[in-house]
Amino acid sequence: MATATAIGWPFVGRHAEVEQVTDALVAGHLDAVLLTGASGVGKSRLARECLAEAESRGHPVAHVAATASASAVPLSALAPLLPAQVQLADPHQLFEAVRHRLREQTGGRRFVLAVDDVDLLDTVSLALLQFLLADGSLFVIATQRTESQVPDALDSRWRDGRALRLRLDSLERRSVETLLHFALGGPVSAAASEALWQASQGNVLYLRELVSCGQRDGTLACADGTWRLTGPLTGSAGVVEMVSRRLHALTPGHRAVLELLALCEPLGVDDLLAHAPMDVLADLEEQGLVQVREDGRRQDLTLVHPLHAQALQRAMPRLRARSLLLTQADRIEAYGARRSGDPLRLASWRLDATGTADPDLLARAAHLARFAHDLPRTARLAEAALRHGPDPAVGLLLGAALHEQARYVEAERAFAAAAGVAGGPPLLRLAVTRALNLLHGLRDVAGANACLADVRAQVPPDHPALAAVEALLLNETDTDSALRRLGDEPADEHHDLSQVLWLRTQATLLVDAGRMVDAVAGAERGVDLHQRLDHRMVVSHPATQLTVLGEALLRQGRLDEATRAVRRGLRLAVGDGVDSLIGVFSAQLGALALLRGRVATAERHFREALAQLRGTGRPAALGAALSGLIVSLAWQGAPAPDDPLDDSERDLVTPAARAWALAGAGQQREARQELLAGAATALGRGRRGLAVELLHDAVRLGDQDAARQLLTVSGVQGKLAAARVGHARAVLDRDPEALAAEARAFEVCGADLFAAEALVTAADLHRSAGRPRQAALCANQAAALAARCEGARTPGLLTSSAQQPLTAREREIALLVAGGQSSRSIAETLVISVRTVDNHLQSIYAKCGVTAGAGWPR
Amino acid sequence: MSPEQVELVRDSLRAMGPRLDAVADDFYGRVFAHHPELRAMFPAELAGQREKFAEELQTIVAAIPDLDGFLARARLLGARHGGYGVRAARYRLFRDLLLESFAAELGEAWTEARASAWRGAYDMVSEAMMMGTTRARQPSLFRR
Repeated sequence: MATATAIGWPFVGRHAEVEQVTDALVAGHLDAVLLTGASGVGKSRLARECLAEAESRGHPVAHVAATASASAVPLSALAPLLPAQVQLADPHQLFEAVRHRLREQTGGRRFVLAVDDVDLLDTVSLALLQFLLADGSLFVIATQRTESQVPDALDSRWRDGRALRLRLDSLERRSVETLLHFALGGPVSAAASEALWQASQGNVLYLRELVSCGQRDGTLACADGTWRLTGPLTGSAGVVEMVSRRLHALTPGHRAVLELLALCEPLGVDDLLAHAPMDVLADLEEQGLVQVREDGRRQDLTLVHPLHAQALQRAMPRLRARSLLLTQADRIEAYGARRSGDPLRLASWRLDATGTADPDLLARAAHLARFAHDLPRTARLAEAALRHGPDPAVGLLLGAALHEQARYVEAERAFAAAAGVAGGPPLLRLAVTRALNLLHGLRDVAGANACLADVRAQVPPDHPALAAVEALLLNETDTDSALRRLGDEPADEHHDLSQVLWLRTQATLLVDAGRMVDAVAGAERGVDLHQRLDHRMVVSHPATQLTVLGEALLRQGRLDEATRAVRRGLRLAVGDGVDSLIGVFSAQLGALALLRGRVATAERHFREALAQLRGTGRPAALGAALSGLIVSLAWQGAPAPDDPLDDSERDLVTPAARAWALAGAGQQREARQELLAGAATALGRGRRGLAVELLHDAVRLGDQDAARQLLTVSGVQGKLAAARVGHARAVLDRDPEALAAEARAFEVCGADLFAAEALVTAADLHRSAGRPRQAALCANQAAALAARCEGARTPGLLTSSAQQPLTAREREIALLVAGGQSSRSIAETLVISVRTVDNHLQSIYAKCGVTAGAGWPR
Repeated sequence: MSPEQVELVRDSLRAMGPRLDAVADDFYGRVFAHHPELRAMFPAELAGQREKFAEELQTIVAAIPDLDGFLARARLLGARHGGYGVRAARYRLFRDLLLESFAAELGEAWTEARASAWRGAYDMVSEAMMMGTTRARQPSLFRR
């Protein structure tokens, strides 16, 4: 009879799944499999069997596990993939090196990598996986306990039809019986089978723990060749408790090995032999607590189940963990840390043990995290590196990471500390980044100016980065002089990052100056250049370029294109978790909805933006979202936001929002004054685009003076501004036909609310000129447009004599006429007299401003 | 399996003993009815196949109490079937067809207890066979 130990429990009930995964590997058009299922259901085991199958087909394979502690340093979990000399400083080079190494190893076959608990993998590792998947040199078998929060690297493969998702349920009753028979090596009494099934419910981990507890305390015993229960099964408690109880029974020597593995796994067998004799290791394997994994020519030991690691870590005193980690790190270092990925593992262990590690390695790891846009980790690693002493490059990294997390005050502290270090190489970059943090984050123009002083002495004035930042500072008071300072073209012998910053600045200034059409070309160039760089360091995230492009398109009335740019940016920002930008894009979606007159949608977007920006946003973005919310509420005839603004937020509200809040409260005269004052300020600062918008708002509130001023503002580009000016002119001329024409211009842009308001005015003018039919036609068109505006109730939609709506009967008849029916056939259809139909038609024509026979608009 | 189930399986096999050839015929008839394309994989004359079927069934059922012998036997069998490309889903289908043949043969004597015992036995055989289809198990440093 086979010995009854837990060694290598047979693999039962999952062969169909192995076949599915193998099919996916062979088929070639798939490159990832995600196995989900509860803890203990057998995901990792299935992955291992699939790897073995792949290996027998000639694929090189590796099995790694992501754990919360191993992810302290980026990439440390993927150590088996990394080349011996890991160059962390340049991620591109590193990724290319890994690709190269895989290609060499694989001889044309895909490398098959199993990753347990893939959702715990750090973002750099995920970026590397994504890179290799896109390259076609990798096949990933990933496991994860939950079905939600699948890392985007895999989820996007799945959406593209390149990944398979398998949900693993517990084993069936019959499979449990088969498994027990094999594992115990003989028949099992019906009662014991039933009890083990009931207690485990097909969870293999539970089953194993129950069996091994039962064997140890004698409740599950073999007599006359049959396994029976001698008493009630112990361990009806949770599996974690079962695990602790089982581990508690170990000798100190056994336990020490498991503790070391729980902290540092995987470890080479040779490493472990320095701690414990071979028979202890063999014993642990036989008890099913550790397993051997092949990694190239080496053999690694790992714990069989992560739950064991959790239980051990939880029970370990902090100081003991620290000493184990450090001893292990010292030992690896004494061996020369020759193995690929060793430096990363060393840093991980030291970081876990003491909160610090080799400063150089920490600095390089911080760069790597920054590359993957893992901002919190970047900051943590950079801070740990800086505790060893100042380093301007790392200080810059830290400040930038803090800035992007909207921790502006801390960022300034980091920048200031870095600036205090003499002779730091990245002087310009530091000064520029610091100035932008002061300007955008802390709204401290004077401080920003001051920190550029040193750079001005050392860098030529036409350097694109210096020019850009100085122009942005000038733009706080005057856009025209800002544009002059910037120049027409960037001096081009400089770093691409400076070019990107210059292009973005130019587009921003041009939009402010009202030259939105000119701005688009430069903004698009900036997007392209930044994308090509794929360089996510220092000058903010590539999606930032899309906020500027979106703004340029939005302000000139190209709303569909603007929406596309904004949605693209939003996808990028969400993908990389850049919270501050997510809020900016949400606010832009709100602004787009406002222009379209979709007031309720706008309110929703602005509320969302506000929620995102209140924690993480730049003040200016917060102000835009807040102001947008106030306007969208005012346009719905609703009172200002119910949640009170705090004082710091009150300062951020724009003149337009203040005006519409006043108008909403019935103070129209004050509202118009606010708008005129705001327009005057804007004009004084060269912000002609904003001035046109504010003056047009005043026109919409019936301000003739604003209309006259609007005609004098020149140089504002785009069809939306043209329609605004045309609207003002038609109002001054009291010309209903011209108003209808401008309404069409608004409608072409998609600005339905403005179009409706212009038509309401046109209807009033017709009516007072004694042309009721034309008035009715305009009013009906206005009503149709306003109906798209989600219940908008602006003053401009109210008319002096309310339009008469069709009755239900009239509407019914109107639809039949529109369908081409004659009066007679309508009369037959509705069982009424022809005379009654004609009476209804007269009334319909009068209300809608059409004459009989002129044709009915369908 | 429980000892009672092992006994039920051996007992019913004894009952069918003299007529196992007919049971085999019936089983292959059901297989080819479901999958005509499989007919080509078997020899035109099924006499030898019938014999093999009966012998294998008796041997493997007799081996159940000795797990090591049973596993060795089943793995050999599985390695052979793996060569034919038999997949997990097909094992399940064959089980249902085989049990239909048993039911047809035993009539009244085919009880639910017997059916359940045979399902367990078949699963054990097929799981052990599938272990034989894949390559050698995970290498262990310490296996002695």
